[in-house]
Amino acid sequence: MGNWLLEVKDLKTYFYTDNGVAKAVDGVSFSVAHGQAVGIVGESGCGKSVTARSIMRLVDYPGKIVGGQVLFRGEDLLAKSEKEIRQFRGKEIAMIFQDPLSTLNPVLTVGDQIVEAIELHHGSGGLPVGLPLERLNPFMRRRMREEAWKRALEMMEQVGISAPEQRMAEYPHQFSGGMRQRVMIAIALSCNPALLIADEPTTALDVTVQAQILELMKELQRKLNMAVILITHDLGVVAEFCDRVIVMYAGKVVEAGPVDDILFAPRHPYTAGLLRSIPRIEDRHRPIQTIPGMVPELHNLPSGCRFRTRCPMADARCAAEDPPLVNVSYDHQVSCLQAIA
Amino acid sequence: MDKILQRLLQTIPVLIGISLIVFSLMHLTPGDPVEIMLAEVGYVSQEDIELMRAELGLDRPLIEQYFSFVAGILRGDWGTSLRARVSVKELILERLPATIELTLAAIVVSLIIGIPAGVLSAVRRYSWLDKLGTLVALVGISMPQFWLGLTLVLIFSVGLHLLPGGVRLAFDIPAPPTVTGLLLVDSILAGNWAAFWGTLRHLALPALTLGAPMSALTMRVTRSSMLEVIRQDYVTFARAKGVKEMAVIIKHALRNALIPIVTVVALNMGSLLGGNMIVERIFSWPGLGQLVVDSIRTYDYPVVQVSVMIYALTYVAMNLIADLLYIRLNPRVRI
Repeated sequence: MGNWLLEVKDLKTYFYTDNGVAKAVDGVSFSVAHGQAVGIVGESGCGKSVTARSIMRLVDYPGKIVGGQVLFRGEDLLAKSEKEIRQFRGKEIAMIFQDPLSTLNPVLTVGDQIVEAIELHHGSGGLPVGLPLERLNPFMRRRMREEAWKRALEMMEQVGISAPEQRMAEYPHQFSGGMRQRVMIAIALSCNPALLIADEPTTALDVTVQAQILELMKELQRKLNMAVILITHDLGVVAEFCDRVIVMYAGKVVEAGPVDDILFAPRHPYTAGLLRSIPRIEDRHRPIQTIPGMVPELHNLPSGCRFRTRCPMADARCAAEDPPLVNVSYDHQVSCLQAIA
Repeated sequence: MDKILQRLLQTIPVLIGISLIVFSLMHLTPGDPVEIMLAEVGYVSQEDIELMRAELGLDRPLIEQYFSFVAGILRGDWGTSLRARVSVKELILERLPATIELTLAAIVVSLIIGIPAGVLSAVRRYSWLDKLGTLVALVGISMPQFWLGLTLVLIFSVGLHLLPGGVRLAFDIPAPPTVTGLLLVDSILAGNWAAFWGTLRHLALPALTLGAPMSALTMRVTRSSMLEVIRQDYVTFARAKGVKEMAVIIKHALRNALIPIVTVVALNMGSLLGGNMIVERIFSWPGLGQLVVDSIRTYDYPVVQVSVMIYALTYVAMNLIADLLYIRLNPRVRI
């Protein structure tokens, strides 16, 4: 087990609101190997984004990481100081978000934003990590800036933006949605991170552009031998991109396993429901199947299994017992009393 | 560039409107200036009054008076003060630098206090620091300036003897030769550091009094604008890149937050103009505000007209600066 790049153990992130404590992430555990693509799927509000942000310790007030461990190459990121964690952010673990328009700073040029990321960590193609004195030397600073600019140009080319020199001087609003997402990927990958966390990277894009961006991410992942955590609610994207899938429901992992197992032999009724709710072209005359009911409020969860209020298989036992996450086959875990019975 | 030119052209109708209002103001107010002026002399005949009217051009039709008023303003011939019997231009140009210096100092004070306090309040939201800031801002906004000014004088001048409580410069320090009329600038130009330091000390209390409501407003606007911006994805993304918190706040958040701040603050600079009249009176500041108050009391309407015109122009200029800064700060509206 010593070969994991990232191990998340019993992570708990709670939001302290006026309505009570919302347990957005409540004891989530999973692991990611070097170069592996892991998908986290679930409905809105199931805690997948909060999980991602918790890994980089980017949870905003009133949210708080209250327990667990995030081991990156064996080091617990949750135990690091604010200064130490910055050495991981951007350099070891990079992140891209759903809406590239709101994620890029509207008052800075695209070039500035890429260069900033490179200068922060001196990139891999840049100069060796400078001493503080070297940073003060205007000659060195200029050289560093030039190196960073060159590297930024390279990144723009690598993500498929044409006329990069000209486009570096432009502002985010001058780019199309797909191009913006490419810029974001360029920023994220400019320091060769070992892990990329992509939070719904294609949700805000047109379907054709979605495919291009996924293709680009896949290509760069292979090229840079980088692990990816892909957060999405789109099982189609997962099928295309991921090696492993983690299904979350109301702050907990309900099922995890290799992508084929999850998609073709789901064991948890929630996963099965999600798969059934994908419209299929051959069933176009039948109404789309949905999961009845709503996701429970996170500060007012049902007892026992959190899914039981919407589950077709639930019985008295489900209300009484919290289902553990257990292995049902090699590398396939399920948290459902009915499935393991 | 088109946008800037367009914005400049938009000020023309505003200026015409202002000149109309300024002109009619004096003609709509009760009391005949000629009768008031001559009343001081004692008994005057109706003939004398008519003669005086003709001399001042008050017997001509209103339209004609308006056009000669506007033409005069444009030519730089601003008329003669009825009371002091000197040209209005001389009177005003003598007073204007003192007011400009005080106003600029108040703006600097309000920005230096307001923006950092607002940023701090937003970053440490709901902490005791934020609550204290909110309380101080509330006091700053609601406290009448005459009361604040007098209190400051009482504490710092009368009580602690720390800062002077009036005039621009002590009489025992030789003033630098007048170049710009701004004492701080003139003393730097003359290399007269004693005068510079003296002016700064004299400026402290009036600038603080005048700038207090503005700092409170700036602080509140900065706080809410920052709170809005801090929630944005690009701030989280900057953190995710590994940017230091200080740089996240200043480079990524404040730069965006400044856009609404500039507009609100520049538009409210107008309140400084009104405040000037009160603050100048309290601190015996030889500025335009005092002149206007005196001129209104004595129906010295040529002085009032030109002064009001200057206030209005300043206000229009502030608006213009706000818009230009907005364009400068916000690449989304640039062309």
